Amino acid sequence: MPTFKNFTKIVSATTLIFCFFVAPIANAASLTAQSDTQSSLKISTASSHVIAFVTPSGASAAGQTIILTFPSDYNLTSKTIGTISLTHGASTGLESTETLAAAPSTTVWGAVLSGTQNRILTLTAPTDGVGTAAVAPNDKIIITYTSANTINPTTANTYTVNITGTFGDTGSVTSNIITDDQVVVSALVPQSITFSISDSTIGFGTLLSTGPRYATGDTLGGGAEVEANNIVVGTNAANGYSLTVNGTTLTYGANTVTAIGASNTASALGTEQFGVRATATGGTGAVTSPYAASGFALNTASFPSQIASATGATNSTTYSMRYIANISANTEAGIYGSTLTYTATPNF
Amino acid sequence: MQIFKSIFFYFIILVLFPQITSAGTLSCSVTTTCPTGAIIYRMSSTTNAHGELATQSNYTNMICCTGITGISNSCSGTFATALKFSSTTNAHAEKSTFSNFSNNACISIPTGGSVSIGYQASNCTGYDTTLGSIESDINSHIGDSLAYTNKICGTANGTQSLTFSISDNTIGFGTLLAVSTRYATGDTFGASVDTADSHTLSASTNVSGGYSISLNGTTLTSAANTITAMGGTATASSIGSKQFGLRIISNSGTGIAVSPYNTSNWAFDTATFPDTIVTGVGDGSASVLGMRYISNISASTPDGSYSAVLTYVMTVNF
Repeated sequence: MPTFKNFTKIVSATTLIFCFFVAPIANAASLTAQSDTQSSLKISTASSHVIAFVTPSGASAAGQTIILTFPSDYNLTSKTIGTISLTHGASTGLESTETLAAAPSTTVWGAVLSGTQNRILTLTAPTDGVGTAAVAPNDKIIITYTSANTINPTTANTYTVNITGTFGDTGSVTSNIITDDQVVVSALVPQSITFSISDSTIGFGTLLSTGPRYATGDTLGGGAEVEANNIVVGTNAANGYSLTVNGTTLTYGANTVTAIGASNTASALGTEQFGVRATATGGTGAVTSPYAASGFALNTASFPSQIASATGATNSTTYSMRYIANISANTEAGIYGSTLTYTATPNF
Repeated sequence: MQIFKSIFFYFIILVLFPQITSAGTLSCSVTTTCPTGAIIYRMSSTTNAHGELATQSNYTNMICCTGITGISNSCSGTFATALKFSSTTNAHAEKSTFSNFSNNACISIPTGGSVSIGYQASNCTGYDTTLGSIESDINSHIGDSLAYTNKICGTANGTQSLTFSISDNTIGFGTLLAVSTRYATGDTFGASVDTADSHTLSASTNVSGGYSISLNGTTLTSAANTITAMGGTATASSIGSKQFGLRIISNSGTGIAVSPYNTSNWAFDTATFPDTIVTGVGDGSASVLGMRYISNISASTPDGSYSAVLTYVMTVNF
């Protein structure tokens, strides 16, 4: 019996020591490594919060609470527990994800929003103190609020979220809410088009009924198809551009060399023909039918006739222009000329 | 009986040990001068001493506490009572958990921090610092940390100080051209030379982990058209190519830009947004970061009014 009496005294003494010394020590622990990572620091703006801290004491006893208190002016009205998460672990703080519900059970943490505009979140440890995993001493705890119904204060200032609860540790995280956390960068890209013609004077030289002539930049013409001049077009217009040709066929007084017309047509010796075709390189511009094929055309009936186009903004396209002329044996003699006007029109 | 003593000893150890993790920077000592920090109370000697409040000046042994910005001996706001004295001077002391004396010696820190006082035998393990010691719970003499077995222990965490500002929320390139590079300016007209900051970010914190500043947003955009972000590798300006980028200069303080924003070239790593662009240490000093923006376009860059909304967020590091 004396032994039993001594044991009783020891237990009593232990209880007293626990009450007077141990409990105050638990209350003394301060959180470390607190942070609140927000998606926005702008006043009156919805912002997510990732509130992280290390708990020296842990929270592994049934019913222990962790309480987050947002300062006044934060508006969490209509905030729901479904938009809040709790994770913890020894390293990243993401090792264990706890399920939150209105009341704690053996498997879930209790989570209740209260106070003015839901500024207080009370998390209550599972009834077995474990849940997914017990929050051990020195665990990192991460409590995440989505931006839904989490509105920053209306006034720029420094705000402190306090972390308390019966788990024994206390601390706070500070955020600096500012009038505007955004920088708006502006720039103007003006409308632009580049358009050039490499040679404004070209010629066939002498036309013969016995062979086709192709215009050249030196005006002497030749018997083989070559580029007489080129046209360069580019634009930043969102809808591209169109390149048209206007003018007349080869004319001398009242006499003309017949324009080939609207169909892409091959050279025909001994037949009056004046036509043009083009090829495109660079950019996204393309030659328009009937000028795109290997034959020639000159659709004076629909002048100004579209000869090329682009459907969107494009770097410069170079159009290589080739001109052909054939005459018949009875084509009237004379010095023929044709003035062709090219126009590039951006489609802004 | 011996076995029960052993059980008792190990029980105490097991109960106490999990509680001894704490953190803070509070530091207190018995000195004769306290040029920085706060005098919490004074003593007639380092042992077997009477005490007096810090407002008195009869004793030269003072408990001087430092390490927390804004620390004081106020008994209001965020505070904890270290001891209670029978009088303002020449006084006996008692632990704060008793109510016989009403002259309180307190330790106080700015709102937002935390401070606590506890008493335990032999040492202040689990606390930041030892203020002194007390002979008994009530009506007691006091002394320095070595005088008596019962120690007066303290822990405090200061308020996190965090400042952040953006000098200009509206900047611009003016008119972009395919034949020359443009740099954004605060007047929104832009410039053809990279000689001035478009705007600055200012940041500071006293949190020991320091801070980071992240960037989120989009590249220059006009409806469905964009000017290509320069990406995660610092890249030189290329006239005639679509480019939108950023670089950061540390104008003052200890905050520094991080790669790829810390060179004379340019980057804009939208793939990793929100992207950490600046880090700084918790030295409390203000850092000013110069933000510079570049843009080039090609001849085919669709016309229009382009804009980019960039969000800068400063966070204490975890």
